[in-house]
Formats: sequence, structure tokens, C-alpha cells
Amino acid sequence: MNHFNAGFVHPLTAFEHVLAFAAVGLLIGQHGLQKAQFLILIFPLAVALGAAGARALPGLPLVAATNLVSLILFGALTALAKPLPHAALLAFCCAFGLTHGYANGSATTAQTSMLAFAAGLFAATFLVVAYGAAAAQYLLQRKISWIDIAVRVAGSWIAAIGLMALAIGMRGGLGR
Amino acid sequence: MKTSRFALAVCLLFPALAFAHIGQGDIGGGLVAGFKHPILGLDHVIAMVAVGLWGAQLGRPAIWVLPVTFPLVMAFGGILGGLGLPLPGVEIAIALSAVALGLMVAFAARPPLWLAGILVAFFAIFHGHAHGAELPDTANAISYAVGFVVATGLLHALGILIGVAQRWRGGAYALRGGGAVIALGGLFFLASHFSILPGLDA
Repeated sequence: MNHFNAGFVHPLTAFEHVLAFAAVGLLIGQHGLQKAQFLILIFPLAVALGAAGARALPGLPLVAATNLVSLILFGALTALAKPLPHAALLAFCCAFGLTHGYANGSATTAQTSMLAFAAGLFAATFLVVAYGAAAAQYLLQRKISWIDIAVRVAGSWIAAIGLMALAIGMRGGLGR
Repeated sequence: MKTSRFALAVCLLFPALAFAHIGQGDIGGGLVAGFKHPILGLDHVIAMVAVGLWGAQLGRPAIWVLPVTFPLVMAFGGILGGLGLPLPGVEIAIALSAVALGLMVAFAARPPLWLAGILVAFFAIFHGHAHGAELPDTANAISYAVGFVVATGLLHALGILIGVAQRWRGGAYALRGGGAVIALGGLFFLASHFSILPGLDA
């Protein structure tokens, strides 16, 4: 059970993961739950698989940088608020879900039960994405004039944070 | 029983103490520094509020173009600053931005949207550069970025919120008066950079 908790809490304590999950949620909400609902399950699944991948294939380079790039991408797509083909959404969610999962999985030791850790990771990711998508969908359906702007501004903040952190990280060496 | 529940809650809320997140998710290591940075410099603050006020005056679509574009361009400037690329006259450009944006608000100027966007983006690079260049070396990159983007965004939001006054005729005049005050403030900072006013170090 401890390992489940570890997997649950680990992504929630790092901005680069929480913000990316939230951006994925907003993006799904913008596209509408009717059409994009499947991603709410696919993305956390990719994250859990990525964690397992860290056990199988340790030491891949540039994972932290890739995760920051995903912040820029998901944030910018939310800010643009243009509908994307589902194949593109699916590809982005799978690719970056894996790298986010990988970063979390790298923090485990050989004693950690990967099954429990990945399950916790799945649960946390699912909750953030599902609540993000539900909140965005609910708010956008209210038809309040400034809500769509607010969601887009949130996306631009997330993209700006990713851009900034990537730059600072490149200066100081990532992983700081 | 109560104490142990509290202890459990604390453990759940602050797992960073026990996990491999040292230097990765440590919220104290930069969030506060990043948040304080745009707020403590009054020259930044008045320029950011002016962006929001001007957006409110211009109405749609500027009201979303400006606050969506600004953080992104500012982050770009932050990259230049963070990488240590020199940009001449940053502090002077920031003071000038308060003067220019304040004047736009004071005269309720309505240039074409692309022109307003370019003007704001031009100054955003300098604001971002200052924040990026003054990053404390110990700060955690992403915490600092979160604090700094959120603080800047909230200053825009403040300007937009004040800008609601635009709906009433008296309020519209009050906004223009506020723009004039911001322009004067910018002039003050500009003068202090050139040490025209004795004994002032802004």
C-alpha cells in the first residue's frame, strides 16, 4: 500500500507533472468530453507504462527536458484553442504520457513494487486529467463570455512556465 | 487519534520531505522568490497593470490577445536573460514601457491590434529579461517560473478587473487618469535611472 501512495503522491509534488496533467485535462475539455473522453484513460495508462519502462530501460537522457517541452506544447495548444485531429491528440498524449511516467518511475528503487507504484501513478494522473477536463467542459458550457479566454490564458501561463523553466534549466543543468 | 490523523495529513501533504524530490519539487526553493520578483519592483507592477487596463479599454479581441501573448513573449525574454545574453538598457526600457503604456491608457489609444500586440511584446521581452537575469542561482527552475508567471498574470488580471470601470462614463475617465499616473510613475523611474533626480536609486 505504501508503494501505491508513493506512486500517487510523487507526480503531485512536482509542478512539471501536475501542470502537464492539468493542461491535458484542459485540452480534452476544450475538445469536448463527447469526442475526447477516451484520452482521459489513455493518458494515465501511458504514464503508468512509462513508469514501468523506467525499470526496464533505465538512464534515458533528456527526459526532464522532454517533459518541459510537453508543458510548452500542451499549454500552447490550449492557448490556441483550435480543434486538433484525434490522431494528433492521441499521439501527443501517448508520447508525453510515457516520458512523464518515465521520470516518475526513475525515482523508484529496486525495492519498490512497480505494480503498486504504477497503479498509484495511474490513479493520480487520472484524477488530475479527469477533473481538469470536467472543469473545463463545465465552465465552457456555461457560455460566460470570459471563460474561454480564462482557459486559454491558463494554457499560455503553462506554456510560459515550461519555456522559462527549460531556459533556466539549460543554463544550470537540468535535474536541479 | 486526532493527532495521528493530523500527522498522516501532514505526511501526505509534504511528501517531499521523504522523497527523491530534493531540488525537483521543493516548492520553497524558488516559488516565493519567483512570485515576489515581479511584484516588488514597482516599475514592473505599474507596467503590468497598464497592460491589463489597456486590454480592458481595447475590448475584444485585445483583451485576450494581450494577456495570452504577454507571458509567452516574456518567457522568451526570460530565456535571453536566463542564458546570460546581454540586452542593453533593460531598466530604462522597463521605465519607458510604463511611460508608453500609461500614455496609451491615458489617451485611450486605439491602434490596430497587431500594432498594440507588437508594442506590448517588445516591452515584454525586457521585462522577462530582467526577471530571468536576476534569477537566484539556488532557485529551482520550475518553481521560480511558476511563481514569476503567476505573479505577472495576476497583475494583468488586476488591471483587467480595474478596467471593468470602462463600462461607466465616469469610470472610463478614471481609467484614463490612472493611465496618466502610470505614465508619470514611469517618467519618475526613467529620471531616477539617469540620476536627474538627486538621491534616488530605483
